[in-house]
This record gives sequence, structure tokens and C-alpha cells, in this order.
Amino acid sequence: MTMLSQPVAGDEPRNPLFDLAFQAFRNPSVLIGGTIVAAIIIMALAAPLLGTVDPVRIDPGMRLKPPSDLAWMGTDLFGRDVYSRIVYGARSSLLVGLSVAAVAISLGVLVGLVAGYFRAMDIIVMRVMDGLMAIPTFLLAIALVSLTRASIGTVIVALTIPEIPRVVRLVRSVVLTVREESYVEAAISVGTPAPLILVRHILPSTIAPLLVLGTYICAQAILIEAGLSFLGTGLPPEIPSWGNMISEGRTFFQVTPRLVFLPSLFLALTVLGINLLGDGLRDTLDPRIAKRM
Amino acid sequence: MLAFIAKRSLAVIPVMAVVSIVVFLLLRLSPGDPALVIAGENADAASVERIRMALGLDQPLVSQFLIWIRNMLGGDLGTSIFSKLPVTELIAQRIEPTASLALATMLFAILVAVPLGTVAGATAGSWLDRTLMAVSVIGFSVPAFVLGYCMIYVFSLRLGWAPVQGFTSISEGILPFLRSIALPTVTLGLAYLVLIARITRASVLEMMGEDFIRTARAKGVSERLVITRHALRNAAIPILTVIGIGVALLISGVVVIETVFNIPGIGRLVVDAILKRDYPVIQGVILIFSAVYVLVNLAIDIGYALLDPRVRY
Repeated sequence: MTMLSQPVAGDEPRNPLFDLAFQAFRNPSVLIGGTIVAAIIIMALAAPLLGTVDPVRIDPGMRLKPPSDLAWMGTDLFGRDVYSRIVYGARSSLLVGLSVAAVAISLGVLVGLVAGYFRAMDIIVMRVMDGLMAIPTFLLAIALVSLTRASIGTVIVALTIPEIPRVVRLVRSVVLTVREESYVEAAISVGTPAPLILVRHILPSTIAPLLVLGTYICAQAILIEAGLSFLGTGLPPEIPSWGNMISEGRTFFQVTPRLVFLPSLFLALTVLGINLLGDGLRDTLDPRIAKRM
Repeated sequence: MLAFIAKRSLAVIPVMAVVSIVVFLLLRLSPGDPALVIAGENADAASVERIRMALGLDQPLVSQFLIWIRNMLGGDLGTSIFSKLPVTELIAQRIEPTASLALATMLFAILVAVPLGTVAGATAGSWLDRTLMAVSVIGFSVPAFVLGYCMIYVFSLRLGWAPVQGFTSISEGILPFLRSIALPTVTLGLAYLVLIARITRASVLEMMGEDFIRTARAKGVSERLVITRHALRNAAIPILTVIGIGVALLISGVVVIETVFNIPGIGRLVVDAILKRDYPVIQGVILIFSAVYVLVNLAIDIGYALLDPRVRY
């Protein structure tokens, strides 16, 4: 790290963001995690090109077939191709994980900036957040899903709500520190309007910790979605998702454990990749981030 | 000290107030008519009306809330729509398996994680530390239900060491009881263990650099005592805090693990209630679980104010 930050003679001053990215990719966690995540994303995007068949096509003549040339990961209870379902399942998991992270962060930033900057709002907002955080995430999510007909949208909303307080707390803690900095005081003293101060002078400081928190939320959301689907209260059964596959597979677990283990493997690998990426980013971007989470 | 305890205890009130408002609104703000949802799509108008009356849905929102709060404070969490039994009774019937599992898991996780994390923190950078950190990322990434199936596959189906599923009450003998909760305990405990071990490691590591550690070493205190009596003791607050926060993890885990191992506890109760949309049961269980979480954390906060003279708020 010291080597990188020392200016080399004759070197043009480089973009600090570029430096940071360069540093991040030298971290083994970022490298391994990033590679896993990139592979899963490519798999999800290129699903139709990867030798898959229709993941929802039911073939009663092919029920519970072991791996063969026709279906190299075998078929499930309804004769559907396990390999194709796993590849398409990556789409559901990533869609849920990324959407939850994006929505929770957007809403959390908005609330957090306001709560941190305007003292009057702070007490009320933080009490509400404390209350929300006291409800176990998983229970709040299943209760929310159970209220409506299950769809990918309702699952995303249900997983987002319990994650918002974490974002709010993080953003608020950054705002509380940064607003005492002299450059913010300077901006206030020249009469910069509050929204502009928030966006131009305070928001940038939240980006690095939010990037890290975002990876954790994404991983958490993927795990909870799988858990919900496993309990039969998550994504509708017709959507190929790893949680749904595990849930359907558990009936025949003693006979064909691979129906549980194969999707589980991809699920765990994806979450592992995202967590590694998050840990690595946390360590390279800013060591102080760990204290806030 | 008393003032702190009083102040900290009073802070529970707004939190639980928000929890109860959220839990109350869960049912009331759901899109569509909850009475219709509960009655099912094929119900006739009379039975929908009956459910609406039974739930007090024909009254204004604020008075519904007040009635609900009054009942709740009086220990009445409502009545299950399906079994017609009071929610408190349903929970009481199911508390033994869940409480046994939760306590066993806490005990297991703390007893393994604290020594492991301490050694890792005191020998940061060693192979043990690196292995622990690597395993801990995996521990966070494998969902509990997946781990549960791996456990069942290896220990029950292949080795036959434990029953595949089910729960044996402690009243039927301590050994069958322990056999029945061993796998669920380890499964549920892993994520919790990893969480505690990581924080223990980080806080012990931080303490190892402090002046008082150098002083202790300089005056010839053995390394073992330096670590346990000086480093670990001073690292206790973050460790206790994370044990409290981790209770949320435990509660979420219980819900899933009871399904995997077919344990008839509160987790199973709420999952069944959710599948049947038995709202009073869902509300009651969420409320109880949240209260347990809040109270455990209250106890921990008061605990370290009592134990650590430096803590003053």
C-alpha cells in the first residue's frame, strides 16, 4: 500500500479512483470473490447460450433421472432438466440480490441523509429504525411476503424493508462525522442550501462504506430469498430459483440428495463470492468502514 | 447506576411501541381485504363478515390498534383463526423445543467461538488464524438449511449417529434429548459461532496492542494470563454486544432449522401460520420473538454496566 501511494518520479498524478480500483484488485479476496461473482453474472446473462433447455418444461417420462448424456445433472421430480434450472436460477437470485441492495441503499441514503443532517428528524427516524431492527429480519420478510400474492416484486419489497435501517444507520453515522468537517462548515457559512451540501459535500463520503454494505445486503437478500422459497413462502414455484429447487428436492432428499445439493452448491458459492468481494473491498477502501458496521 | 438501569430500561418502551405498530400494520395495511384473504377465495359473504367482526376490522384503525394494545398488555395475543386456541397457549405448547434449541445453540456457539477467537486474535497471522478466517467466510455463506441437509446426509443417513428428524423432550431422558438436538444445534450454531469468533478475534487483536498488555508482559505475567486476564477481559464488551445482536440471527435460524429437522417448535408454528395466513399467530410470534431480542439486549447492556466500572452513559 505504501508503495502505491508514493509518487513515482515522472509519473502523472493519477485519478485517485483509479488508484483505489487498482489497489482493490490486488487484494486476494476481491480477486477471488470478484471472479466468482463475475462468473455467476455471465452464467445468468448467457443462460440461453449455455446448452440449456427450457427450465420449466415438464417431461413426465424423464422423472428423477440420474445424470446422463441427455441431462448431465439429471432431472427433477417433474422431469425438468436440473442443469438448465440451476443456470436460470442464477437469474432469480441475482435479480433479487441486486434489486434489494439497490432499493434499500437508495431509500436508506435518502432517510439517512435527512436524519443525520436535520437534528429534529433524527430522534423520530432513529426510534422507528430501532424498532424495525428489533424485528428479526427473516420473520419480517416472511410476514410481508405472506400478505400478498408471491411474486418477484413482492419478495424484493419484503426483503428490502428490513435492510433499510442498516443503511440509514450507516449513512447517518457518516453524516454526523462529516458535517463537523471544516469544508462542510465552510459551505454552510457561504450560504449553500442544505440539499446541495448533502449531495455535493456529504454524499461522496458515504459511497465507499455503502459499496461494502451493498455487497452484504445483496448476499443477505439472496440467502433470505432462498430461505423463503425453501419454506414455500418465497418466489412462486413456477420460477426456477435455487431456493425453490431445494424446497422441491427435499421431499426426495433420502433418495436423490443431488436435487438438494446441486442448487445448494451454487447458492453457497454465489453468496461466498459476494461476501469475499465485500470483505476485500472493506479492507482496501477504508479500514475505518469496519467500525461502522 | 440505578439511574442508568432505569434509563436503559425505559428505552425499551419506544422500541417495543414501534415493533407493535409495525406488527399491527402488517395485517391492516396489506393490499386487499384481510378478512377476504383469511377466508379464502371460495368463502361466502357471511363467513367473510364473521371473520371481519372477529378481528375487529369493522372499526376505525386507531381504535382497532388501541383494543389490540390493551389486549396485548393484558397478556392476550388473540386467538388462532384455524385452531381457535389462544395464541399464548399455542406458543406455550411449543416453547420447549425452541427454547432448548436456542439455549443449546448459544451455549455451543459461545463455548467454541470465544476460545477460538481469542487464540486467533492473540496469534494473528498464524495458520490457525488464517484457517479460522477462511472458514468463517464460508460459515457466513452456507445457508443454515443447506448445512442442515449436509448434516442429516452425513450423520444420520450415512453414519446413523443421530435421528434423521424430530424432537425428543428432555422428560424422556437426557440422552435421547441430546441426540435429537445435537445436529440442529450445530447447524444453527455455525453462523452464530462465526459471528462471535470474528468479533472476539478483532477485539482481542486490538487489545494486544495496548499499553497495559505490554506492561503485563514486562512484569513477567505468563502469556496465557496476559491473554485471558488482560486481553480477553478488556475485549468483553464488543463480544457481549455481538452475542446480543446475534440473537436475531438465532431467531431467524430457528424458523428455518425447525422445518429442516421437523422440530415442533415456535418456528414451525409461525411457518405453518404463514402458509395458512393465520394472522393472529403470525403477529403473536413476531411480537414475542422481537420482545425476546429486545430484552436480551437490555440484559446485556445492564450486565456490562454492572460488570465494567468504565461504562457510564
